[in-house]
Order: sequence, then C-alpha cells, then structure tokens
Amino acid sequence: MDAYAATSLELLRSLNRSDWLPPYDENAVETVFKEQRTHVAEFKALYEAGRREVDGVEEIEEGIKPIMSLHISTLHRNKRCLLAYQNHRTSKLRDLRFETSVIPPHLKKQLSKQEIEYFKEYDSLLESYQRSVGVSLTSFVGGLTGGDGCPSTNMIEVRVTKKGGAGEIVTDDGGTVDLKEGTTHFLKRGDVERMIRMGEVEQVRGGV
Amino acid sequence: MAALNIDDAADMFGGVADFTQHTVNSIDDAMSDDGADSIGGDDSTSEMALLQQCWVNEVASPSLLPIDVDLVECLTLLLKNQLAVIDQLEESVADPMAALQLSMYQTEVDRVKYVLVDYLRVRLRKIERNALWYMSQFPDGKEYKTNAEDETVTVTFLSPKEMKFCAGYTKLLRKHMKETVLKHMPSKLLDNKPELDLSLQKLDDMQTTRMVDPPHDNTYLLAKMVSNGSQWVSNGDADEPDFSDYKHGHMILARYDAIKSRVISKEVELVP
Repeated sequence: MDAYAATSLELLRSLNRSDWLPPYDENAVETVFKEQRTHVAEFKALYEAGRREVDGVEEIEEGIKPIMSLHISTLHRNKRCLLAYQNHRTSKLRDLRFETSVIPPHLKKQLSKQEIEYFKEYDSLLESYQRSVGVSLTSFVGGLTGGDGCPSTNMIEVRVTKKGGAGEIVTDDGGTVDLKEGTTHFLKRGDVERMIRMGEVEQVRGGV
Repeated sequence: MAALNIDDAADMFGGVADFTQHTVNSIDDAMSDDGADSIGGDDSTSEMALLQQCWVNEVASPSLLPIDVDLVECLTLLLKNQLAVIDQLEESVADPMAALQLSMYQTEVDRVKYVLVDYLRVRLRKIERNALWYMSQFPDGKEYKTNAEDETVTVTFLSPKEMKFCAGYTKLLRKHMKETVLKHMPSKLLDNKPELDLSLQKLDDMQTTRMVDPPHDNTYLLAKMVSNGSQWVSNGDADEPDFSDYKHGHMILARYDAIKSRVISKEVELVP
C-alpha cells in the first residue's frame, strides 16, 4: 500500500469531482477493508516484537510506540473516511427522493446494491411521515429561496420538452390534454407538477 | 343582481391584494358556521401569520426550533376544510362567478400549502442531518427546563410524528452504515488485550473521534429585533451580550447561540 489512508482519501476526492455521484467504488472500499486488516496485523507484529517482560511487568520498547500509534490513527481515519463517503452518498440519495420517487436508470448504474435498498427504505419512511401529516412534502420544492417561489396563481404555462411528446394526460377536471413536443399549454399546477420535476415539460416563466 | 355581483368581485380582488389577510379571512370563513365575510382578526395572532413567522425562523436557523404542534394541526385541518369547500364549488363551476371564486380559493390553498409544506420539509431535512444528535439530546422530542420560579417548563422540539420519523431514520442510518462499513472493520487489535478496544465497529466511539455532529449553532446570522432590548427579562444566561441599546426594528448580526433563546421567545426574528 502507498501512504497510509491514501485510498480512502481518494474515495472522498472522487465525490468532490463528480457532478452528482461517482459510481460506487466497490474495489476501493474493499481495498480499504483490506488495509484495515493489514494495519491490525502489522500492529500485532510490532507488539509481539517489541514486548519485554521486566519483573513481571509488561513493557514495550519506546522506539516502536510511535509506529504503533500511527497504525491506530490510520485505523480511525480510514473508518471516518469510509463513513463520510457513505454519508455523503446517502445524503445525495435523499435529495434525489425529493425530486423523484423512482431512481432514473442512468443514475441507478452509479449506486451499490445497499444504496438502492437504502433509497427504497427511505422512500417508505418519508411516505409514512407524509401520510401522518397529511401533506406531500415533495410538492413546491424550492422553498423560500429558489424554485418558483410562492405560487401566485394556480394555473401555469408549460412547454413540452420531452422528445416525441409527453403523451396524453387526464387533468384534474376530467379533461384530456395531448402534450406534443414543442407545444405550450396553460394548465393547473397540480396536473403537471410531477412532469416538471421529471423534466418532461418546463414552465414558461413570466407567462401571463 | 348584476350590480351585486360586481360588488362581490371587487371585494374578492381587494382580498387578493392583501393576501395574508385574505387567506386568513376565507379559511376562517370556511370554519365559521355563518360563512359571512368576517373582518379578519389581528394579523399578528392569526394562525397563518404565526406559521409564517415560524417558517422564516426555521429556514434561517441552523438547528431545529421548537414546534407548535397545535398550530400545524390546526392549519392542516383548515386546509382540509377549504379543500372541501373547493370541491363543493366545483359542482357549480358553470356559473362564471363561482369559477372565479374557485380559482382564487385554489390559489389560496396552494399558497398556504406552500408555506406549510416547506416548513415541514425544512424541519425534516434538519432532523436527517443531525438525527443521531437529536435522538441523544431529546429522546422524547422535548426539552425540560427549570425556570426562575423553579417550575419545569417543557418545550417540544420534535413533534411526535417527527420523532417517529427520526427514530426510523436513525435505525435506517445505523443499518446502512453497519452493512457497508462497520461490520467490515477489525473487531479488536490484540486478542489478549480487551482494554485496547478501538470501537471500530461502533458508529460513534465517543473516545477518539466524535462521529455524531451537533448542529452548527455557532454561526453568525442576520436578525431583526421585534422588541426593545432594554425591556428584555434576563434569561439567566450570563454570557448573553448586552442588547439594551437595540430597539424594535433594528437589524443585528449575531452568533446564533447567543440569540437562540430570544428567537424562541419571539423577541428576535431571523432574516434568511
């Protein structure tokens, strides 16, 4: 292995470089697990080599103590880096849940098996909270800062951006609208909110 | 008849111009039995204004503020009632007057919902960020303090529903970390030395590195005085800076820890 804890540091750097998340680096994570075991083995070897019994009291040779504590620090650092790696990834997954309740296929490729499971469990946790409070927390994403701001009207103008159109939708009033690509429509916010988040239609700003 | 309708419409537009007032009025109307267009109560005490204040403070503060469970329940109920009114109106949508009214009611419901949803969401995201810390700090979601008269005061920081979410979320977090990291960590350094336990398989080892972060309450924030600092009653905190020179309406830049108790007592308002 190179410098101590270099692999786990590189894992964290890869998060920084990525727009969303880099693919889950199973190999690097495994390498760190292996490093951890090596550190323990080396620590043990040092301990056995430097151990002396003086008058029945155990003593360890002064010269090797710094190396031993370096191994311990590295063990802690590796653990911390790995936890940070997982934590950052899961926080991105939670953010994603507020955008869409299904992981888009191109993002799914980046995730580990456990992360997909995590997303599912987080989804059901959020669902049951939403049911208990009686409102959907994924509407009006954006909040006080950013987003569309507080709705000033219940009708919005949208343009269909999805290639080949977004298909026919049934509105809240029971009518049907065919969302052909490139057409604009004046619709109720609730009817198209989900599609705006999915990027199938975009809101025309400063409309009416 | 026509003249009456125009008057009604004018009234309604007046309501739209002053939206907060209008929101409160008509939701209250929906609740009241007579359904008459009552003149809204004092703005500062109305539910909507209260929620707006909580919302703005919550968005700006780094950690959770106490939640008024009754207020949230009340607004949820008002929303539900107003939606029932809208459903009723929808049946008579052929009448142009009703259609206008309907569109305004719908917008109003959207706006109330917008604030409520964002308020709850901001809180939920904060809970997630420091879930383990909140669990250790408020095991039942409440804080118990002794006031000057030696009475115990209970402050609810997490509503029972949020508490349930927090517990579920903590469980999920622990499980995920255990599966992906902790169970692969070495369990011990030396077989014959149990005192050299590094707790590498625990999420929070307490001794060496604290893995559970508290919220960053020591950041500086912009805030607005909504009462005169000279009239403040001491809150028993010896470290509190002297605010006696600041008057109602002054803007201050302060560390959040120092003004947190004043934000809770609504003597200071945060500016996001």
